[in-house]
Amino acid sequence: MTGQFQSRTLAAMLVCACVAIISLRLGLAYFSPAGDASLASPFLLFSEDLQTTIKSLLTIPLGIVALVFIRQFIGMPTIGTFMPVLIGVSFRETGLAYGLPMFFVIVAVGIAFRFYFERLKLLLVPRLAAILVVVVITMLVCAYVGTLLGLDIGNSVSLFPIVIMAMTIERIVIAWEETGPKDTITHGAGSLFVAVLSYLIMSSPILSNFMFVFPETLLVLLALAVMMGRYIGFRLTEYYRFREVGKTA
Amino acid sequence: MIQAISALHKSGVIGINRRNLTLISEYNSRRDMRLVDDKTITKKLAKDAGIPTPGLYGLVERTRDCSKVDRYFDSEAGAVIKPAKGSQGQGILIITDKHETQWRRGNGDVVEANELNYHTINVISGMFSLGGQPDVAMVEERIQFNDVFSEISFKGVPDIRVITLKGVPIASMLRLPTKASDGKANLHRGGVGAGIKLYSGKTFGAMQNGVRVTEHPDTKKPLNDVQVPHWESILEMSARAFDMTGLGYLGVDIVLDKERGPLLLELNARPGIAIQIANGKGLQSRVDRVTGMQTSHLNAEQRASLGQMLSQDEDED
Repeated sequence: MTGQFQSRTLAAMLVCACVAIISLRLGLAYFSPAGDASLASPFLLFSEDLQTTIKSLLTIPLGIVALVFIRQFIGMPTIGTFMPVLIGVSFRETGLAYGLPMFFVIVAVGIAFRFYFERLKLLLVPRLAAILVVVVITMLVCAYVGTLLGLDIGNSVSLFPIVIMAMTIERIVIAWEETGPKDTITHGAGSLFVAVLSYLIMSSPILSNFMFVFPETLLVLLALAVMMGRYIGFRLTEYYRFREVGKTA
Repeated sequence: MIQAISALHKSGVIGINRRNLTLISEYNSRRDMRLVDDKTITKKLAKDAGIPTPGLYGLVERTRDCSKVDRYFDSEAGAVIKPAKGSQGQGILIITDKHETQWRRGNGDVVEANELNYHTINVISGMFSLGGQPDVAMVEERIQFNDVFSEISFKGVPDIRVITLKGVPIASMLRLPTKASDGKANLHRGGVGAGIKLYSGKTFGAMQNGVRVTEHPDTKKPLNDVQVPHWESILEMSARAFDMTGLGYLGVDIVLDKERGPLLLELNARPGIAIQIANGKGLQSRVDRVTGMQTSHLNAEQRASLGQMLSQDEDED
C-alpha cells in the first residue's frame, strides 16, 4: 500500500507544481507591465525548425497517455505496445487520407510476401530484412502511382516507420498461424483504432499550441501516467469477457 | 448494463490490472520468474526436486543441428518440439509418427521432413520467445494421455492447470482441445476450460469462448462430473512447485500420462485469469483468505490439503 500512497503523493505534487507554474505565469502577465513575455512560449528563442520539432515532440506524450488510458481502462487489444502510437506519429506526416490507404497497402503486400518467404524457408533476421525491403519498395510505388494520378502526396513517404512496419507484418503472420485469424483481426483493428485516435490527438493544433506555450503540462501527463500505473479496477472489455461469471454470482 | 457492471464487481473476479499489481508484482520476483520463463531450467529444478516431467530427448541449440532434429527421437513414438522460452503455447509442434517420408502432426496435418528443420530453426532464432531473444528447441517425449479424457477432447493433449498462491492451490481447471482450437488446449483459441472442484477433483461446468457449455463441442460427451485421476498427487505436485521456485503466484500445468501418472509440463509466473470463467467464480475471496493465513510452516502436502479444505468450505456455503 505504500506504493499506492507514494504514487498519489507524487501525482498530487506534480499537478500542484504545474498549476503553480501556470498561475505564476498568468499572474505575471496580468500584474507586471512587461509581463506579457511570461506567457510566451519558452521555446521561442530556438530556431523555427527546432520549434516545429519541439511542437511535435511535445504532443507525443499526449498520444502515449491516450494509449495507456485505452490499455488500462478500456483494454483494447493491440499488436505490440507502442506500435499504434508510432503509426499515429507517421500519420502526422502523411495525413489520414493518404496514410490509412498506404498503411493497408503496405501491410497487405508485406503479408503476401511474408507468406511467400515462408515457402523459401529463410532465417529470421534475413527474412525481416527482406520484408523491410518490400515495405520500402511498396511505399515508393505508392508515392509514384499517387503522383502520376495527380494526388498531392506531400511528405507521405518521409517518416513512415519502416522497421516497425516490417516487424508488425512478421508479428501479424505469426499471430495468424499461432493464435488464429479471429484474434489477429481484433488485435489489428484495435491497433488501427489506437493509431487513428493518437493521430487525432497529436495533430490537434489547439493541443499542440497549448503544449508549446505551457510545456509544464507535461508534469500533469506524468502524474496521469503514475496514477494509471496504480489502477487495479476492471478494464471495460472485461465486463464483456467475464459476463457469464457475473451472472452466476 | 448497470446490472452487469455491479454483478461483476460483486463476483470477486480479478481483472488483468489487479492481477498484475496485486498478484504478480506482489508475489513473484523478477529473479525467480527466470526459473520458469526458461523451460530447461524448470525441468532441471523439477528433476532435482524429484517431480516427474515428460522425458527430454534432447536440446537443439545450434542451427546446424536443426537438420538432424529427427534423429533425437523414434519415428514410431513421435515427439514434441517446443521453444524453451516460448509462451502461451506458441511454437509447439507435435509429431505423432512418420508416414513414409512425411511426418504426421498432432492435428492430423502432414509435414515434409524439411519443415521440421525449418520449424526448429525458427524456434532457435527466437521467433516464439519473449522479445525475440535467441532460444533453444526442446525435443520432448510425446505424452500418451490418460484415457479418461479421450472422450472429451479432440486430438491434442488435454492438461490440468492449477493456480497456487503461496503454495496453496486456490483454483483449478481442465483444459481440453477442440476442433476449433486446432488440437491445442488453449482457451484463447476456442479450447474448452472445465472447472475442477479442488476438494474432489471432479469437473463441474465448463466454458468455451466465454460461454457456458455442458458437453464437448466435438465429441458431444458431458463435461460435468469427470473425475480427474491422481487428484491428490496433482495438488501436492502443484504445491511443491512453490518450494521449487519461490513464486508465490504460480500457474502449474500438469499432464496425465497413461503409465507414469501426473507429469509437470510447465510453470507459469503470469498465469491468466480465464480460469475464473471456467470456474464460473472470481478468485478474489480465495486470494483474500490465503493472503491472510500464516502458511510458511506448512509443507507441500499440508498446503495441498489446506487448498482442498478452503474449497470445501466455500462449496457448502
